[in-house]
Amino acid sequence: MQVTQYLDELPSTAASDVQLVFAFATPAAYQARVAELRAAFPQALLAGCSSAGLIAGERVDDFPMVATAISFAHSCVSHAWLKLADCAGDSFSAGQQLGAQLPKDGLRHVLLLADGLHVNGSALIDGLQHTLPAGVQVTGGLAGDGERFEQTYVYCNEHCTSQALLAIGLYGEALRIGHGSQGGWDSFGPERLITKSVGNVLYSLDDQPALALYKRYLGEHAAELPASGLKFPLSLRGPDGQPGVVRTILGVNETDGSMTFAGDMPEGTYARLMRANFERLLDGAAGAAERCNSHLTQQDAELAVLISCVGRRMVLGQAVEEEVEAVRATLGAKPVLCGFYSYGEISPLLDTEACTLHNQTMTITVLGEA
Amino acid sequence: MSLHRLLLRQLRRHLPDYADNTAQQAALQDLLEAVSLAYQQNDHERALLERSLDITSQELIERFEQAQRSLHELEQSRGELQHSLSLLSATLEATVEGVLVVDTRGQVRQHNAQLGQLLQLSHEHLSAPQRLLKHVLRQLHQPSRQLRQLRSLWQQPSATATGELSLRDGRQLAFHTQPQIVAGEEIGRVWSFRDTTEQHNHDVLMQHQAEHDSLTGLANRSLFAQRLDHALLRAEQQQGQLAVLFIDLDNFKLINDSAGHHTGDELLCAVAQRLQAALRDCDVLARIGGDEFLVLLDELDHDAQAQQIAQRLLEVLRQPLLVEGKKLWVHASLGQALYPRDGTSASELISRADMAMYHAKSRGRNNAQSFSPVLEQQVLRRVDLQSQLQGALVRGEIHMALQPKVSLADSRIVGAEALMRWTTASGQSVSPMDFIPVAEQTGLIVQLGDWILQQALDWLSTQHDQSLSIAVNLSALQLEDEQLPARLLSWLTLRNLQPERLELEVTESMLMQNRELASRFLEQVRHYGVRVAVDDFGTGYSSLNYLRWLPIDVLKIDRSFVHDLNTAQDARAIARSILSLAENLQLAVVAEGIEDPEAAAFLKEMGCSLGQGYWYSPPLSPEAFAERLSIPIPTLSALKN
Repeated sequence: MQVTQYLDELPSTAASDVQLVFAFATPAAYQARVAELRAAFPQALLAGCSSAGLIAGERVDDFPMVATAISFAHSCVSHAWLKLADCAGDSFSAGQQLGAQLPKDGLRHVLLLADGLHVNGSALIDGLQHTLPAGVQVTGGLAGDGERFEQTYVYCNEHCTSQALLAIGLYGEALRIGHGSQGGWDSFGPERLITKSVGNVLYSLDDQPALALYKRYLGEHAAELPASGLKFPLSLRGPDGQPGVVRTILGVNETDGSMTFAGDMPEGTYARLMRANFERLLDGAAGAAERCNSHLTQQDAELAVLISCVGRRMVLGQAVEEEVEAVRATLGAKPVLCGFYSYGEISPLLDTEACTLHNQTMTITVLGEA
Repeated sequence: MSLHRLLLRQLRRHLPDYADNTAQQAALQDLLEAVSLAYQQNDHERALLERSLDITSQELIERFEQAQRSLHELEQSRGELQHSLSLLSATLEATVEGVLVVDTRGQVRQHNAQLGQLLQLSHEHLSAPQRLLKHVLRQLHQPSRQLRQLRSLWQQPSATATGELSLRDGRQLAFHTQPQIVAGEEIGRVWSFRDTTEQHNHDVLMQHQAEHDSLTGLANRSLFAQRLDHALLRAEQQQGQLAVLFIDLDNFKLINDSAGHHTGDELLCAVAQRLQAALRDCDVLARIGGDEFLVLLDELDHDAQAQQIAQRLLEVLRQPLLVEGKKLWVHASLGQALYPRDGTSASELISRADMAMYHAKSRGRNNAQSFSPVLEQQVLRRVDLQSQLQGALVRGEIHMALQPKVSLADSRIVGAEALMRWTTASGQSVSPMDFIPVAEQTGLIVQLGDWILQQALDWLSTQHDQSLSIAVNLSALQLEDEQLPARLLSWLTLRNLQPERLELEVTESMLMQNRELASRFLEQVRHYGVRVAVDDFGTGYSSLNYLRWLPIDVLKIDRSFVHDLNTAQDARAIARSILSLAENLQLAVVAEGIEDPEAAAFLKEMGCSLGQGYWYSPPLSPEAFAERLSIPIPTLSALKN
């Protein structure tokens, strides 16, 4: 397995053995350079999306584009591409359709890149996972749009489309895949009952408008919603008191006081506000990396795809690279680090089979070939 | 971009020349801006954190306060609930009814103290439905009946029921039960009990009083009628026999008037006891008023049995009764009517027994008579006559007839016997034998009696022949009229008639039955000079010695002897004896009913001086009599032709 990362210049000669190129970029940059990419990597699947920041090695910045080219010795790549419009905006059936399109023989893992603002991430993953064979997991992320929350894009070869979905299938026995996801946010304050919600739109907590609660906590920063809302994700208590998931705001509606989250906000669930603890964020990143290690030893890891949450970048501010450094420190020097800051991360929940949408996490997928 | 003030301060302190050093500024600008931004972000973060802390604290306080309020409200609710419960309990305890609430399985959920008292419950009994049920059933008179009722209620959880429980200890409880419904669903049943013993006893007493005679405790008329109806129904179904006896005490009025009402009451009770003791268990004895009793002889084996019992009853009454230390004799007249021979309904049997009783009275009392259809006819006739007789005198339907009394020696008319004749408006002649008893019963006899007497005296006063006399029959009732002698005297005086010309006739049996009364009356009239004759002599309960004491003047030989003079030796012997007796006692003799010349000859030969009969003349109207008077007297020999 060969992995090469390009920040500015792409290879002048075509590298035909490259099967997959992760091209995380701004939409403008991608459109400008897609032809170049195609020329450089004629056989590869060009995959990427817009973001709230790019990761290249241990650097984090708003690069125009970071291209990471991968060639496998014994493994293959396939993909499924879908526009949300083609499934009437139903995320669950979108996931099903994506899954249906992917060939299943030899499928080992699915990497999913999805629109960041119009998708119900949890429904999408649900729909997709139903179609996958046992043992195949999904990792990935939701495309971002900086701190603007206006429009996100997913790239697939020539396509640079908003409200689109890309599922990348990885095939072959030789593949070694590891994953890990961890947050580092702490819940605080009282539990609040989700009293009204529809899918991933939250209307009220304890019969009070959700937006009002956020404005109270944000004070003058309420003007910067939804971005400022990233500072206070909600943790949802799982059934029977089990640890649940963290949800981030994607949008607000001033008219009805509702807030759109990246995933389902089921009525009757208890939610608590969370806030970031700097140190624990870094620990989280390291922790995520450590989990990857449990699946894949340091020797085998060639590539690590880091999908971290926009909220973390906001909190970490200028020190954001420290979390990537923490990952590096844990994964070792070998794997190439690529990735982006997303509006949501996709990964199995802890050690269960069920993949789910996370927020505010550092989610890492590590690949290698035996 | 302005730098963070802390940074500025730091710059001022550590790079004092910075403000003036533009080269330094240019070189450091990016760095300083980055640092400033970091400081700013830090400030924001801290502010946000502090804010979060404040808000969270506030929220927690708010929630705590809310919880406190909720708790307080809860406490209040609890307090109110407690109060409500207490109120409910107090209400439940304040009622006079015993209340029991059970759930759908019969477990006791609620009860009040009154219930415990009414049903004599202990804690144990309330613990299990079975125990409670057993305990209650044990106290009942008819547990099986109540159990049946309970079972049917069990099967109908929505049913309501009301009823009465009779307890062994004599108490009576009224109960009411209905389902307990909450939000349209039956969740149990409520029973309430009330002690109605007093009311019940009162009702029973009222019932008893309505059906029984208060003095003797015997059944009264209405209860008797009920029993009779039932017995008749049974007899009809089983084709059995029964009898109704009507008993009337004979001389009760006398005793009541003379010994006082209290003694009278005691006497009635004693009579009731005697009669009851002589009856069988299946018989019913009732007092229907005054001194009248009714007896139902049920389940008779044969007709004669009724007769036997009737005789027995009369017999026990003939024994003297000891009342308030006095020995009293009272006997009775008894009439009997049999089912089905004499009637089939209660009213028929009672009224016919009554008729038979009246018959017994007329037969001299102290006897028993059976009903016969003739009696009814008699009664009907009597009733008929009664109504007619009422106005007969006023309508002028009554006339006087005169039968000539002749001297046997020369067939000369010496006087007349006044007789009443009644011809109804329709032309029907009613015999005095029929209407006199009716008149006596209705008391009309007084008016009739006065009338005939005055008619007779009127006639007397019209006769030229001052030697003529007139005889008028008296009825027993008239003997009781204490004012009559005086009236008689005034009539005589008014007409200026000699009292000796009037003869009052009383029957031998009348004299015997009312000896004292008769004596008193007759003495009075004799005192005035009126003469007294004994009619039907020889036919009554004659005891010769009374002849000595009775104030009489004339003996009238009964027609039965006169009739048989021709054929019977003993008749002649008796006639002779009577004549002899009369002569010896200086009484005049008149022979009645002379119908043929042979009898006349015999009597003449015996020395009888006066006589009357068809042979001489039937009763005549006054006009015909006057006519007769003017006719010369034919000789005996002439008449033979």
